Amino acid sequence: MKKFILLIFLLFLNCSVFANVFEHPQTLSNITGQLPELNSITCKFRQEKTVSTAKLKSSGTFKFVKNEGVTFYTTYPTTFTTTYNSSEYKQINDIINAISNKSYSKIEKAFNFYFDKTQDNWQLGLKPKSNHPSAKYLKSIEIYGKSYINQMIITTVNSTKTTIWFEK
Amino acid sequence: MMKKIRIILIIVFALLSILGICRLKPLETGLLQGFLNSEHEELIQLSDKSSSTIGVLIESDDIDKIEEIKNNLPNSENFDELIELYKSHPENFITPHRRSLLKNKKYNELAQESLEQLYNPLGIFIQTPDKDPYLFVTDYIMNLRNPYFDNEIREFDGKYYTKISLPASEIKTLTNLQKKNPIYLTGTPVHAFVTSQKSAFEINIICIISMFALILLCKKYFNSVKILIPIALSIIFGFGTGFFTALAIFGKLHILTIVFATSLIGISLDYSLHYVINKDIIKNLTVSMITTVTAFLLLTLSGIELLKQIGVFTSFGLIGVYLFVVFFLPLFKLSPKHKTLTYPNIPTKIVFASIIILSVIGLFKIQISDDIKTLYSPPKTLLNAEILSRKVFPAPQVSFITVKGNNIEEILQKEETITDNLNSDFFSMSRLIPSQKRQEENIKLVNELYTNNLSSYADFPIQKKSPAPVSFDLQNKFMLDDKTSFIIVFDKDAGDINLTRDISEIMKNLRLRCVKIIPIIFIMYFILLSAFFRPKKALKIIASPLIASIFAISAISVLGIPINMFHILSIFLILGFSLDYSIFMSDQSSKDAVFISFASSFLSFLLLSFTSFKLISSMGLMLSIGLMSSYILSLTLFRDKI
Repeated sequence: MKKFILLIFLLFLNCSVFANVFEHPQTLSNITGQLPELNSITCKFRQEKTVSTAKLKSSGTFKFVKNEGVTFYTTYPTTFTTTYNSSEYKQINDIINAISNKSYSKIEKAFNFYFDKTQDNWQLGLKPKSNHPSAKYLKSIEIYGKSYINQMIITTVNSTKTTIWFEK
Repeated sequence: MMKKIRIILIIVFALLSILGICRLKPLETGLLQGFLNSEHEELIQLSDKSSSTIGVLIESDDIDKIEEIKNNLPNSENFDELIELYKSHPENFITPHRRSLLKNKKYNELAQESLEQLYNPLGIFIQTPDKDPYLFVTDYIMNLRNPYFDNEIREFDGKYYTKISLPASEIKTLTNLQKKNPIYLTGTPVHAFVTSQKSAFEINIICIISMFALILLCKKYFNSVKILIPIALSIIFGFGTGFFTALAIFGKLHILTIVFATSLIGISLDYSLHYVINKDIIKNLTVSMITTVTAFLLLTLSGIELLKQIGVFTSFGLIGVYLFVVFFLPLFKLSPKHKTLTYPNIPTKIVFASIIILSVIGLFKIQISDDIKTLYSPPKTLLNAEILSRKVFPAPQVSFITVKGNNIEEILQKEETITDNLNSDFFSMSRLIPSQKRQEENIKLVNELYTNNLSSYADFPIQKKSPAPVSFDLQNKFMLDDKTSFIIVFDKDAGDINLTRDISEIMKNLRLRCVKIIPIIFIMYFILLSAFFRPKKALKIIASPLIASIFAISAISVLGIPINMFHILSIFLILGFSLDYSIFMSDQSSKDAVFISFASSFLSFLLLSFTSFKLISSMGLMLSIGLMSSYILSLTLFRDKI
């Protein structure tokens, strides 16, 4: 499951207001050329999980090392490290590497893609294909970016919404 | 007088038939059931349980098509209902690790673990934190190692695969669907289905060939095929007597009993031909019947269910054939003209020396195998499916622990006591649905946690409710009977029962027991033959089957085939056939009947040795070698009489 959510976090900058991206289905071949190059990066992140009426806020440092994996160093409200480059997450890593190397075939099998672009700002939407196992848990992923990714929103079927902001 | 006896025989046969039909039950086809008795009941049940499902491996280049293909298949069992139960009762289902933290009141440690899960950027909640603030359900489900939860999609060698389990009853549907869908079928029911279909086809072909060969032999020898009518009737009467007697005694017969009892056909043919060719053969016929029946009756003392059945079936079948030949064949007024066969002058010393040398060489090469898996070589397609399935979804070797109790609650509690102290990973009914007692404990522990830690842990609203123990019926998956469940341990040595190891051990003991019976039978033969013939002649008569049996075992060993239980069992059949060859060969006028009987039996068993089912083919090979050597030996041993 986690592997399908993983694809996402890659970088920063402002977020413009877009229309609903899910009104713009696109083929991956059309999107690929318009997405930024994904290189190793370390930045701050803020996260907000909305569960029912509660908002769970956290923040820390995000690190992505190309061909190695991603790590979230959460420092608030508690300190812990979540690493996705261990052998346990090998499949996730494979997918991250596929993204960073612009080899999207694995993601294409799992998601329907939506894309919209206004000037320099772009918005990518991913919805699990209805017959894919991840559709049981994951509703959608939205990624906002400009020259880098700056925000992503993960919505699950049990109405949990996780928003992560990546900030330099 | 003869007429009265005939009427009595017909009445007895009719009564036996009625009694047998009344007790008739479907044939037992499980291999283990033929060898194991009531003390091995758990082993049989576990074996049945662990091999009762078909593994369906779905393959596709496109991950989307996996679901499409799955939609074409019968519905597999899903555990959504159980997941919903977990979600609605988060306090009831707690992993051993978290239970330990709760029992030791390590609330801060537990809270930290929960927070890490809660704030994990890519983490998911199976139940939301407002209903399950410490994410007990998510932790519980993530820690379930459940071989029954199928549907995971894996990528292997550039293709996508998923595996589902379906009941054995779907085998016909699945084999049909396999023609149109890229699926691989694995598991015992598939092998049993394919092998039985193939074996049935092969055996039918062999029966047809053997029948034509026999017709041809009779045509050539008697210049008529009418002779086959009384012979066929004697076979039917003998086989019927054996079958109905065995049914009346045992009720349910094993399929291998029928396979072994086919020797009756050969012996029935033997007896009938001897009578047709020479009416003065009654003494030899009686001696042959008494010795063979006594030897086969000894099998009933073996303690092995299959041997008991073979013993009763064959003994009473032989008595039936004998009575038919003596009391009914005279009615046919048979005195057909026949040709006289000429026999090659076999150099006795060379034959003996060759057989002895080959026997000695073989005995040095002998290898024993009690591994039940060696009795079966799967067809290439099924073997490839099994290999692929294991590569894509590697399965650990398992052992089992059985748990007894008077009711489900007692069984679950006992399972928990055992698994709490188990160092290996396991899967059990109590792992999916804990006992009421354990659930109550969990609820109490969670309530204590909420009282002591929740206010400092969660700054979000919690939906509180009054939890209570729940139940879920999983008995058909984990119960062997009303009072016995089983735990699957993912370590081949950690459980009490390892099916492969234990069955092989039992097969070894049975093989040894059979080996011990063989000399007793030979001694019994000698004693009985000595009552009718001089000891020297008795010794000469049993020399042929004895040497032939040793030679057959040696020849199999020379071919590099490990000796198994069925090779040993084949010796009993070699004895049944070849003792007759020796007894009748001592009578000049019976040699042609012996040859026709030998030729037809040898051809049948030789053809059987080419069948695809290894168990049958190994018996066929052993019997054809045994019969050939026994016939040649009897021909040379009694050459002076011929």
